Amino acid sequence: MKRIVALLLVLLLAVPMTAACGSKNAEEITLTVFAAASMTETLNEIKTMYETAHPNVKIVYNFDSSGTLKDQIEKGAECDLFISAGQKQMNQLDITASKEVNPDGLDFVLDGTRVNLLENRVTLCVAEGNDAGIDSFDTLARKLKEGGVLLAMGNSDVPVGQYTQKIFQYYGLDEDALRKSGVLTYGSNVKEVTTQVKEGVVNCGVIYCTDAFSAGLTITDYATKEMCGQVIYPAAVMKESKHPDEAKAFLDYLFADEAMAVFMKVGFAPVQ
Amino acid sequence: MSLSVDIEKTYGTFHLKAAFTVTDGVTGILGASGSGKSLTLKCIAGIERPDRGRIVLDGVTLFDSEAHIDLPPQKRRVGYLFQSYALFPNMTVKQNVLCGLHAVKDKAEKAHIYGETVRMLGLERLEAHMPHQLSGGEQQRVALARILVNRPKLLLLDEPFSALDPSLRVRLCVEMREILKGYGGPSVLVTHDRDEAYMLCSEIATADAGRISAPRDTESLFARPKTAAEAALVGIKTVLPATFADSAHISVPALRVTLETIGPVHEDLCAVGIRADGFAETADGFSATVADVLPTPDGRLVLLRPCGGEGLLYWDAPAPWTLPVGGTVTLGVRPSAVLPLYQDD
Amino acid sequence: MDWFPLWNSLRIAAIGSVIVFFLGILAAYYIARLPRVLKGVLDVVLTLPLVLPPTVVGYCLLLIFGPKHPVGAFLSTIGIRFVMTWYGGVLAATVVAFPLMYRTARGAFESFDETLAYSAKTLGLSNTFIFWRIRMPYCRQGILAGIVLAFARALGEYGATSMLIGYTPGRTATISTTVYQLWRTDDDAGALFWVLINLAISAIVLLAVNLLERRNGWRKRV
Repeated sequence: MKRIVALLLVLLLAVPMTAACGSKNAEEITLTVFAAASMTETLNEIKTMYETAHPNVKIVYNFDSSGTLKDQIEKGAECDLFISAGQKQMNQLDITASKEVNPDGLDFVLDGTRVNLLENRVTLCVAEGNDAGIDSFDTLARKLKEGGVLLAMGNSDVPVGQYTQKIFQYYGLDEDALRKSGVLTYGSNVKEVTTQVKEGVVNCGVIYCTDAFSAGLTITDYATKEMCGQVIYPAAVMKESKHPDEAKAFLDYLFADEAMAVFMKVGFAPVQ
Repeated sequence: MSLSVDIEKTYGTFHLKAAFTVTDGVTGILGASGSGKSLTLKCIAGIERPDRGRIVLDGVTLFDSEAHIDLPPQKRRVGYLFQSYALFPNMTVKQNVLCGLHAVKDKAEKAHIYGETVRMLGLERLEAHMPHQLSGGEQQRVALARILVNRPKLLLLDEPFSALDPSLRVRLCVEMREILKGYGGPSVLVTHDRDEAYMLCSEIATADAGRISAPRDTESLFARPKTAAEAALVGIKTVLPATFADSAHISVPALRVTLETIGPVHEDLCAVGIRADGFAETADGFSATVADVLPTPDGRLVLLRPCGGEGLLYWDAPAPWTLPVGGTVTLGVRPSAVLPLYQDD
Repeated sequence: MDWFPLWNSLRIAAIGSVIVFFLGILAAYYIARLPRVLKGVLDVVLTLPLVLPPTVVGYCLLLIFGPKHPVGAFLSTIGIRFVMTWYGGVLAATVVAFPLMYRTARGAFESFDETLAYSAKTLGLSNTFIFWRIRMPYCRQGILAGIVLAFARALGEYGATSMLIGYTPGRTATISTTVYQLWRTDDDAGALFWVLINLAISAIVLLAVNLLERRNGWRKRV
């Protein structure tokens, strides 16, 4: 009796595995889109819209920090379309970019498909009930020097982390010194930072305004162009893509009014 | 000092029922493997718990299912010599024995008792040894030393010689007699070997499929076993169903004869036991065919099948033996070798 | 040179191992005596952190100890915080290492010859004496193996630790989270340095354990 029960339990585990390898419709193609974590909610909404209009296309996303995604592409991960939260990661894959920004000479971007898709804004958000009196980037800069606060930021591989570093430079703060004094805590992608602010385990975090909207966080301060420059999200079809036309079609759709509306709802802006 | 036991315990299909009293001296429990003897000891020691009953040692109630008394083994003052001796393998002989003296606070007294016991059991050379370096006999002496320094009120010995060489048994029995005499308190010795039981125990209880009888005087048990189970335990191999003929005769259907015995025979007779040395060839008796001849160091054991019915006869036959298997022989039985056996109640 | 990750990892692993040692052997000892059904259920529950991915374990710990959740909120009122502090590292390490100690100890105790305990009881020795001076020495090999496994697991903990305490240099960074961050920010030399440190620690620990095992000469089966 015990053996029958054990066998049934094992078979039960096998069911989800077989379901996952479902049958593939001959016509159906799957588009793999690597996108920055900050686009999670918006792109998911757009996927539903696109798949309804194009039933033969199935979209699969990989959301993570742009640095991680670039690494994965470089190592041969299957990707049709890449949307990065910063020019740096796209440059590193674009053969037409200068040797400075693409030192390894990688050639993954399909010629002529690279465009600037969206603009985002870097913001400062504080944890509810645990904000240590931080009400602006100015105050933050001061409190960081004094110590006794904890700021969550992306690490230097994450675009929003790179922007935060620029903000440090703007205020003349030495990141190494801040690290030593224990006021900084690093997340591997922007969602991690957002979660830490939302859960209140840090005093504040530097994230995009889109992440703040999606997480329902109140934005305390916006970073200016002087502090960290413009935040542009480039997108491109990958050379290794097996469905370049469908990828291009989806990319074009992202510029359409209905897709842009979704983006703008959370604080993205089309690139001027 | 006396121990009174009246317990029952059920283990699946096995049912233990033991009711007996033990006074000073060595009482044996003689029985085959699985007959419940070790289980009884474990219940007395507190290692196993009976389903119901009472165990009282020297006026102290160790267990009483009605009164919800169940003393932990630590408080029972019962010494238990395990078949495997259970020496603590991470301690030397000296440390093992000193474990038995943990309750003695006075250092001088502790050293005195320790020294005395070590001398009594001849352990002087072995004090620094580890248990795995000792022979079986030495381990047993160490285990005994550990128990004796603990001054138990009752000593339980679980098949003490079964793990030792048979050739040493006699000498070990003699040593054990001395040790038990030196101990002076009541002991219960459990064994399946009738020779050990006979040599060491003044009274013996028999164990048969979970039923432990009241102890009987050793000599009278061996001379006149009363039931088929007792007969088997004391070494009577030939046991046949039988009925009452008269106060000096037993009717044995399988042999188609009536055997004479030393009375008195009671009416509720149900079987007869015949000692292996009680057969002899006669002119008129019952006939039996030879089924097998087993050589033994002292002669031979002949297995015979009675021509009149079912059963096996075991005969310690004298030399020379000439009959082959299948041959027929006419036999009679000496009355002193015929034992009336009754139902177990 | 910031040596904090080394010091932090060692103290988390050491403290976690000590806690896991006591919890593990006590759980193994008492649970073995429970009735069969209860014992089976507890076995499953207590072994879960071993079979769950560390990120799942981390998520569950956050659900319990996060400041916005009941237990975490209560604990912060009395000044105890597990999230984003090195105490959380100890908590995560303890949770993931516990099943290793528990199951190894269970196995070791089950191989223990109970007649030794019975014999000790009839001699009047207390249960505590029997546990620490007879049972534990007898099961020494297994217990030692359990401690090594637990320490190794605690030292190498990444997933649950990362989720629970993040990466705060100087406060919560461990060797494993540091290696990840250094790799992610393209500091290969730095990452390799910490990898070698970790290898060195593991080698030293295993060597020490090996020496401890060999000194133990007596055989158990008498």
